[in-house]
Amino acid sequence: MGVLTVERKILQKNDVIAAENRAMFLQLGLFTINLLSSPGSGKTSLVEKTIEVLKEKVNMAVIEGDVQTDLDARRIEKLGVPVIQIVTNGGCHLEANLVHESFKNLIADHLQFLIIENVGNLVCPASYDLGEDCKVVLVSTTEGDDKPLKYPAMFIKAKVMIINKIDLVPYVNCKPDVIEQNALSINPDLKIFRTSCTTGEGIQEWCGWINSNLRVR
Amino acid sequence: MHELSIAQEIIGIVDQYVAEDKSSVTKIRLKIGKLSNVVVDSLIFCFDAIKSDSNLQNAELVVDEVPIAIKCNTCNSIEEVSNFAAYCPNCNGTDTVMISGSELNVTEIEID
Repeated sequence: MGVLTVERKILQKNDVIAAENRAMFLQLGLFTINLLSSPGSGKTSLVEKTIEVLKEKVNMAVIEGDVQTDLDARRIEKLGVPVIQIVTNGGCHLEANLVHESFKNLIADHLQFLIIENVGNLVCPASYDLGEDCKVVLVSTTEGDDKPLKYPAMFIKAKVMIINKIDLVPYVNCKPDVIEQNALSINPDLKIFRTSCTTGEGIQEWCGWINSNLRVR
Repeated sequence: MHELSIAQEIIGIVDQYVAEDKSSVTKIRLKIGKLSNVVVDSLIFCFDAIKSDSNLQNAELVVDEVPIAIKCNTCNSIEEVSNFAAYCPNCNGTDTVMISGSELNVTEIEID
């Protein structure tokens, strides 16, 4: 009979692989974002708009995570950017080893920028580091302005928040200023953009931020 | 709903500490922060559903839940809060650090 003192992080295995990914991305000179939101906030639309603006100047690739189907990867493929689809078959989040394995299959030279679009979920993906440079959380105006308060873990860990579907503000009961205020009460250091993938508002500013974060070689 | 994969990770950690006769494990003690996005009841349910596959049928999870606590660098107070916010509930200062609440650890394994 006895008690073993353990003191181990339960997600240590994921954290170790995430650290390996981060070292590999850094060595390759790659800037990487982990894009997170509820389902339907417009992650894939934002990725499409970002590609349209950046693809002529920036070597980029996308890893798509979804519970089922390769619909998102096919949307990205049409824009002529290398993409890998991860189908989690029910898994509610991406893990570092899934990103590690799928990155091996990306056929792309001299990559500068990698977008990892996570599974639509504001809860579980917050706990899993993928090795990205930063987490970008997307909130759309149709979701209401209280999301940062309801899902704080995600907003604590994010560096950037994008308020998407800003063109719909006149039609919905949501105030972008209140989203900002709520998010900043959770994380005062958040960098914030307001975008619309329909009108193009804010996309240039967002892409400018990406450009300023690309690694100089 | 990632409690099943958390339960699998816990079993993986126990494997590293108890090589022989895992049926002798009676308790696995965890520290789970209120902001760790883990539902304790679901975690226990998932663990109980899979434990006998790993010969851990006699083991139960004992969870110490850790409150969210914020330390303020302005007034030096440490405050427990039920909802996280990045300002001090005492002086409203914004120079704060979360000192507990995000734990997700295995702390002890008890063997009979």
